[in-house]
Amino acid sequence: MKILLIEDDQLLARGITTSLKVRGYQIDSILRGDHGLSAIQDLSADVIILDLNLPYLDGLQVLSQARAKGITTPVLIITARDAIAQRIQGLDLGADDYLVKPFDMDELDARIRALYRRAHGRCSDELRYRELRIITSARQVYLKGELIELGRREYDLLLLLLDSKARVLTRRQLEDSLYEEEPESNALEVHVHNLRKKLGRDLINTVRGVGYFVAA
Amino acid sequence: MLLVGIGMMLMASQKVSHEAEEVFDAVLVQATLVVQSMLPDELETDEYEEGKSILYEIEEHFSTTFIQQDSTLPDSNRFFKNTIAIAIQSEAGAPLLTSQPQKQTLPQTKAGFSLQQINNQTWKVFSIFDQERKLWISSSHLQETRLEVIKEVALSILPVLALGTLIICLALFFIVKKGLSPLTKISSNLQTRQSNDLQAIALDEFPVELKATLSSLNNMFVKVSLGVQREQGFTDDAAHQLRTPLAAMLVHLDALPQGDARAALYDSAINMSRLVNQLLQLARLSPKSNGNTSFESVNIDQLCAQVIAQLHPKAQEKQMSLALIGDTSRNIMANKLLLEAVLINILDNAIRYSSPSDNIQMLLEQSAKHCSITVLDHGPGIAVEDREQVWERFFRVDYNDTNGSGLGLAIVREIIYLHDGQCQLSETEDGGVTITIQLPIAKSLH
Repeated sequence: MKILLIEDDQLLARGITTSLKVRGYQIDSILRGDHGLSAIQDLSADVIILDLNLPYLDGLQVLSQARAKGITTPVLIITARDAIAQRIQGLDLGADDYLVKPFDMDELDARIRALYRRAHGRCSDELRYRELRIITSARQVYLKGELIELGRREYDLLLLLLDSKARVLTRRQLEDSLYEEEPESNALEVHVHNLRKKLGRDLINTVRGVGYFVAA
Repeated sequence: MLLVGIGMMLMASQKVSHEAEEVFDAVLVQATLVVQSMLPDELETDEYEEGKSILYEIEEHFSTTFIQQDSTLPDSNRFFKNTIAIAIQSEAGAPLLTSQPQKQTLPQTKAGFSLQQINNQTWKVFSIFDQERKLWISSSHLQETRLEVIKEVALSILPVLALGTLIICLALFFIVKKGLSPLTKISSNLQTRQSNDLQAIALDEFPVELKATLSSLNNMFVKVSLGVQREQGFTDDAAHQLRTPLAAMLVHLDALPQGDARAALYDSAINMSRLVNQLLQLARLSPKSNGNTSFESVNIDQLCAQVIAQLHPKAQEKQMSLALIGDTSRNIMANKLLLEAVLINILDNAIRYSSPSDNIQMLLEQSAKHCSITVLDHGPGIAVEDREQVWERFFRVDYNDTNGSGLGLAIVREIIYLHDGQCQLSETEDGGVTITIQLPIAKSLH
């Protein structure tokens, strides 16, 4: 996967570059905003990591000019500012995600993967988790090699949870992703109950009053 | 004021008594001198009777009659007759001529004024010695009558004085009150404003005399608020500037081989990140006059769920379970970012200071006007004597603890106060810390 990093702090840029290379990414690092904009056009990166406070051309301007030129590469903004207004401005201008400094490399890695998946579909057609094997193209789920019949919502819910392993997804987040309209109040619980019955009790963990997660 | 009035009244009556006394004394002196001037060179015994009648006339002339009308009792006019008694005595004190036959004892011969007991009555006597004729001439007033008259005169001025004093007191009171009303207005303006409200006072409604003072006060407000803004700007900038090197630190740490040193460095970097975030939160708690604190409708249930989800990995590391119990099912007016910081601070504390595999609960409740969020853990708890202090900046329960900054709860309190809410720390039923915050559902507008 090719990453373009536009960050003016040399120490941070070097650190991110080293860490991402260790994790198997290809990475180009640019220190100036104006150079970053031309690099976005010249290099065909899979994901762009963009700092907002850049010399010569501000990060938000780099973003808006790139989007104006029709470039749709997913952009992850990293910034020292976390005020909601700036967050919204960044997302309005076409950023795909937002990470406030300082951050954990694991977190950055996870966000990059999520962005890539969203833009390119899954890296592989097959997903494995413990005794589960999922063929995403066919929407088929196997437990210990045996095909399990899942409803459409059940399958979507399972994939949402597996995509953010070890992270708790709140009921609101899950409902927003699964349904277009406000669902019945206990619809989500029913799906979770069914998934547990079909795939095992301890697959999905509950955080009482909050939501659900699958262990890492 | 009243005391001064009473004092004035006493002094006035004293003065009046004194003056009246002098007037009476003058009468005595004058009567005596008149008698002396009318005496023939040689006083013969057969002329005594004639002399007596002259003395009567003189006495009648000098005796004063006072009539006092008592307004409450129309027909009971009181008469005071201050009768003068004149006596002429020989050099040795033998009586030669006296106007009052009933007066058997005559005054002692002594020049000038004296008070004497004659026939069980006190008399004020004035005597002179006539050198040519070798005679004592004296006039006297009955002291009792004198005093009575003086008292009446003195008392008669008191009601007038009292009324005058009262009127002056009242007038002064209202004039001073009216004169001070602009000051009262300023002081109530200053008292009712929020401690961090540094807006200028409008000058239009105040008299010219106060405008100079008020505009200096306004200038001071401007200076202070500029200072406060600068300080906050600095904290904000500094915190942001710190974030990038911190990020670089964390990222480079990631490349280091695993080990104790790396773990320690990692923990320090994480603590520093937390401190920087808290400094930013403090900076963001700027005065409302800056207009930075915007309130919006916030769904408390969702915000709590989101914060618990965010901190869940941390709780998992210590095998703790988190739970959100109850709901408020309504929105309140709040600043989402600040309220989120409150919940993160409280829950983060519970996770960090509670024992592993604890069960940390967040309870949501609502009443007609408030909704309350309670976070309770079953950790070591906080000693009763420390419970008030935990809300102070940089206070730490355990100073050996290198994880805390001592800022968390101070920030919590400030944010909650900004939302007109309340927060308190108590003990969980079976040991541990319970923190309750209570927020008004409708935010009052300042």
